[in-house]
Amino acid sequence: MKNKHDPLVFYDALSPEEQEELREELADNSDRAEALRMWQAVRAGLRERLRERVPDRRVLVLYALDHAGRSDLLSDDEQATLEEARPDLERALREHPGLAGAVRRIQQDQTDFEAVWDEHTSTETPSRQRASGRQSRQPAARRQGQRSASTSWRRWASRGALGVAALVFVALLVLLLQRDRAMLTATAPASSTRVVELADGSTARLAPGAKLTYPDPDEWTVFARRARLDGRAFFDITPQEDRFTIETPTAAATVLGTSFGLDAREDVTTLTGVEGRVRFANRETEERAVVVRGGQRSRVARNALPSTPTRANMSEALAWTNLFLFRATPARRIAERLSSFYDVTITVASPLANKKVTGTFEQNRPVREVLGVLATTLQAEVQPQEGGGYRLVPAA
Amino acid sequence: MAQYDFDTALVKRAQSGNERAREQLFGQLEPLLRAYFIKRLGEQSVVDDLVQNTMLRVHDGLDDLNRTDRLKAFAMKAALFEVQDYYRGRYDAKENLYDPELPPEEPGGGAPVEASVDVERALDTLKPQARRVMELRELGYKYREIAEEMDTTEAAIKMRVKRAFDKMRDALLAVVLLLSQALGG
Repeated sequence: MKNKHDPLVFYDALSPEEQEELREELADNSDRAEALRMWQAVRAGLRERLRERVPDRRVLVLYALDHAGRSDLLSDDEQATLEEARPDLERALREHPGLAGAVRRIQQDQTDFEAVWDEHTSTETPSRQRASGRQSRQPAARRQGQRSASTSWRRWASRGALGVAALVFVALLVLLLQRDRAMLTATAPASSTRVVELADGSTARLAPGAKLTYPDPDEWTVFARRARLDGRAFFDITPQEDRFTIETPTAAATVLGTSFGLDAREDVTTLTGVEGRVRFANRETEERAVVVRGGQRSRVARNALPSTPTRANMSEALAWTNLFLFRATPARRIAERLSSFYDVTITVASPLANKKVTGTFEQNRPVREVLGVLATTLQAEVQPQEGGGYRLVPAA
Repeated sequence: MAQYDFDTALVKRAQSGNERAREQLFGQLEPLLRAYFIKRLGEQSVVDDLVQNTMLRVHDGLDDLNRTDRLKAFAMKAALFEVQDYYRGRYDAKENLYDPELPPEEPGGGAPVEASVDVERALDTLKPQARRVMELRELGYKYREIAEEMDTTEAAIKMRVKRAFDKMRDALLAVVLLLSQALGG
């Protein structure tokens, strides 16, 4: 039986016209408006709590399969992910009865999928298939003569739609295959970094073990400004009109020209901006992207929105790059940093002390070499000091 | 119905970059996934997207598939993840329709609606079965699907929801009344 609250309770099931009508009615009825506001607030709150407790719905799938005695379906990595999440997940299951229902539904999904798979991959011989096909088609053929013209039209319309879908799929497949042909993969050794130069002059400095899939400079491809990263890398992207997008297991970072560090793990990606701006979003949804500027960082976990960018200590956040990253940094600060790193005294003459420097230096270079580049930038010279150490003074 | 055999050799050839093998593999996988999603959701409008997204998941992960005899498990998980993603986003767009359209109830109405409502108190008024229905709904399930899961009818589920609405409304309005009395007195 319907009552006056039904439109409030099932507001999301109303047509746009009905919603509009209800809104007009609520404008003159504050009690009902307040009731709807509360109802939606409770639902939104409940939704948020569920998201907090199960931020990654994939884990719920893994749990459901494992719980159904099908741990054989999980890879080693998935087993490890599940074990890490299990205590929190089991607590959430105890507190939220709906989650247990979702687990059962996933287990049913698994059974349904296996049934469909087995149906499509059965090992009937071609001759048996043809025979059974004839048997099943004959009654249908008899019925066919009784079908109306409109049924026939619908069938052809349906075939047309399937044809369009097939064409779209083929186009997608061609694009995917073309992408694969035109892409290269570089992997940094386990104990050292590797610098990859991309087609447009941009560079990616891969941390040990990182893997980058990027466009082959010798092949034309529509994916020329797109790369995929697993692991950690520091990017220095050459400015161009087209945006450059780097995908990770969880995120997509899109830039025009900038430098930044990406730490791409299986379930979370952290971006630390060094210079310029980077649009950072969840790879799957691209919803509510954030803009990360130099000196800021943001994270994207799987199935989650990017975190609000916060200030970051670049030296600490990007220590894994083995780079000195200075952006408008006073020379005296740079001297302090280099002194600490190389364990040698470095001082700067007062006329140079507050001059700001922007530059990137590899930490595996000798201190004398780094100081030489710094001196050139400051229009200074390096004076070795008696008893050890160096002093930067204005060039004569 | 076409019937296929995903032999490990085919998967291996596809992994090694053999284009014909890839075309064959994905060409066979596509109708299978489509059949599953149609059976599972029955909504043609979303099936195309789900099939393509699942194919992309399989495509992107194919190189990392260590055991080629596990394609079935791999594709199944991709499909199940995709269903969960679909559920997660099912009501997001709709649920926010009301608030942005109405003027704020009070000055400073930019604050989240939830902030002014005691969500825990409201949920505490519900019995476990009603809470289960509410939670499944917010996890993205339709009332028809919830009814199937709880082995009852859609009408019975909707009746539970209406009762939940009444109980929570009464509880929350009682708090509002108490607060206004306290502030006024």
